[in-house]
Amino acid sequence: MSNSYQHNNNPRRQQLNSRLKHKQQQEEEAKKSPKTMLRGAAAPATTKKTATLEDLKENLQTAMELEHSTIPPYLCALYSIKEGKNLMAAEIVKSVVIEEMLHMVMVANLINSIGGSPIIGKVKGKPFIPSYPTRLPGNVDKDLIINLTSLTKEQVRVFCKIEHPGDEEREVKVQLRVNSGEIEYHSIGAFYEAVMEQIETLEAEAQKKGKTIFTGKTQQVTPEHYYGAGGSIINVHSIEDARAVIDEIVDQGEGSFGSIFAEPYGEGQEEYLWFGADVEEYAHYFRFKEVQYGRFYKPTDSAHRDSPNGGLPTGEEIDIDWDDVYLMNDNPKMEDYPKDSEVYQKMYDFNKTYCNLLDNLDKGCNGKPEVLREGIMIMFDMKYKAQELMKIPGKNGLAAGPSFEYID
Amino acid sequence: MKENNNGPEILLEISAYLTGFEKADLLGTGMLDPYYRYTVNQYVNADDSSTLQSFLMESKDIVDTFGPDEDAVISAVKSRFLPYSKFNTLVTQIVTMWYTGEWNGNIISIDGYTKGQAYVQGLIWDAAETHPPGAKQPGYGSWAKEPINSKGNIK
Repeated sequence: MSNSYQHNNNPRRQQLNSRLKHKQQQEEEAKKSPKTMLRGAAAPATTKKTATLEDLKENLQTAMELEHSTIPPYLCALYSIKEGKNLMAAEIVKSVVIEEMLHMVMVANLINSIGGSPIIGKVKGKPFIPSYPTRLPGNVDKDLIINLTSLTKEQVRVFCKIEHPGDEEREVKVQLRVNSGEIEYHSIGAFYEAVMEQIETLEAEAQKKGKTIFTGKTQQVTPEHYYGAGGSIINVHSIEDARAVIDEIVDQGEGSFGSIFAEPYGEGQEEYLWFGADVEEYAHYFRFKEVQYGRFYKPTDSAHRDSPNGGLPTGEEIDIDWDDVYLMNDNPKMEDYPKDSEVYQKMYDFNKTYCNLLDNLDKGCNGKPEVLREGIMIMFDMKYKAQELMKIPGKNGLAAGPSFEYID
Repeated sequence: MKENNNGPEILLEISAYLTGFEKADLLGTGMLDPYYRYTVNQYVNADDSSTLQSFLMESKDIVDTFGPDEDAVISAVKSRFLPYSKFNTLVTQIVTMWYTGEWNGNIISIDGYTKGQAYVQGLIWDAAETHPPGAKQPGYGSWAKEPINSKGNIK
C-alpha cells in the first residue's frame, strides 16, 4: 500500500505496528542484557543524544545515496528483459525501482525541511555514483558486493540480499554519524529508525527552546511535480511528516521485519501471514523472492523462514524464461573500449544522459521542482539508450550494457 | 541458397553505408538478425536467392577492397549499387526496411520477441528527431520542448 501511513486501519499497517511493538519489547530486553541483543535491533540509546543537526543532515545524505545506489542495478535488470517478454518479472522489478526513486526524493524533501541541501550527482569528496562492483553506501554490509548486470537468477538473489533485513549468516550494518563518530547499524530499517530518533531528539531539544528544526524554506518536491510513480510524495514540515516519510520507506522497502529471521516460528502461527489479495503491496524483499522462485505468495504462505513453506512463495507460477534476457557484461566501463569506437560513443551518450538526469534531479530537489518535468523526458531518453546498449555487442560476446559512470 | 555464415555481418557493414547510420545504431535496434533472416526468406520464396547471394558477395568485395576508407566505399556503393542494376530493387528494399520497417509497402512481421518491433525500431524516427507514435514515448509535455539531444562530443 503506497500511502498506507494515511490509513492506520489497514491490515498491513496493523501488522507493521504489531511488529514494531514487538520489536520495541525486544529492544527493552536487549538493553537489559546486551549480549543477547538481536540483530536488527537499534544501537544503545546512550550515544543518540550527542547527534547534531549536521550529523543528521549527513546521515540523510547517506540514506539518499543508499536509495540511489540500488537504482542502476535494478534498471540494468529491468532493461535487459527482451521486449514483450517476462512481463510479470519486469513489472515487479519496475515496481521496486520506482519506489527507490520515490524514497530518494522524499529523503531529499526531508533534508530540505531541516535546512539542508541534498547533493545529487555532484562529487563532494566521495562520488555520489558508486563505481560498480560496489558495496552499499553507509557500509551496510561488507560482504555484499553489487554488480551491474542483467536479470539473472543469481542477480535476483543479490537483490533479495540488498532488501534483506539481515540474519545470522549475514550481519548487516549501516553506519550512522553521531558527533563526528560512527555507529554501525545492522539493518537498513534500524538505520532509518535511528535517524528518526535523532530527528525526534533534536526536535524535542529545539521545542524546549521554543524552536523547531523544521526551518527549511526551500521549495520541496510536491505531488504536483512527482506523480504516478511508486506512491504519493510527502512534503515535510513537521515531525509527523518526517515520521510519515520514514514509515513509508521502511514499510515499502528495507524491512521492519527482522523478527522473521531472529525469532522462532510457532506452529500454526498466523502472525507472519502477510500475503494475499487484501495486501496491496509486499516489501521489496518478498517481491524479489517471487521473481527468484517464479511463484507468487499465496495467502496461506508464511513469511517466516521456519514455517512449513520456509518463508518462500508457493502460489501460482510466474512465467519466467531466464533466456528471454539480453546478457550484458558485468560492470561495464567506458574504458573497456577504444575512445574512437562506436560502442564507446554509445556508452558515452548514455552516461551523458544519466549525468544530465542527476543534475536535473539535483536542481529539482534544491528548490526548483518544476524542472522535474524535463527530468521525466531525460529518464525516457536514458531508458531507450540503455535498451540500445543491451543489444549492442561488447566484449566477451555479451552486450555492452549501460555503465552508469560520470563523464568529464 | 547456400547458408552464408557471415551474412548478417556483411548486411550490417553494407547497411551502415546505405543508411548513413553507424553500425552501433543498427545493432542497437536489435533488428539485424531478424532482418537478415527475413530478407533471406523473401528471396528464397521468390526463388531468387542468387541475387541476394551475389549482392552480399559484391558488398563484401567493396568493403574488403575499399574499407576503412569511407569515401572510397561510398563512391563504390554509389557506382555499383545505386544506378539501375540488378541490385537496385534489393538495395531499395534494404534501405526502406531499416528506415521504415516495411518491405514492398507492408510492415515487416516477424515472430518471436522482435514481433512488432519493425515499426518501433525504424531509423526514420531518429532521423527526424521524433518518436514512433504509440511507442518510445518521450514524456508528457515534451512537445513543448526541443528534442533532447544528449549525444555528446567525447572530450
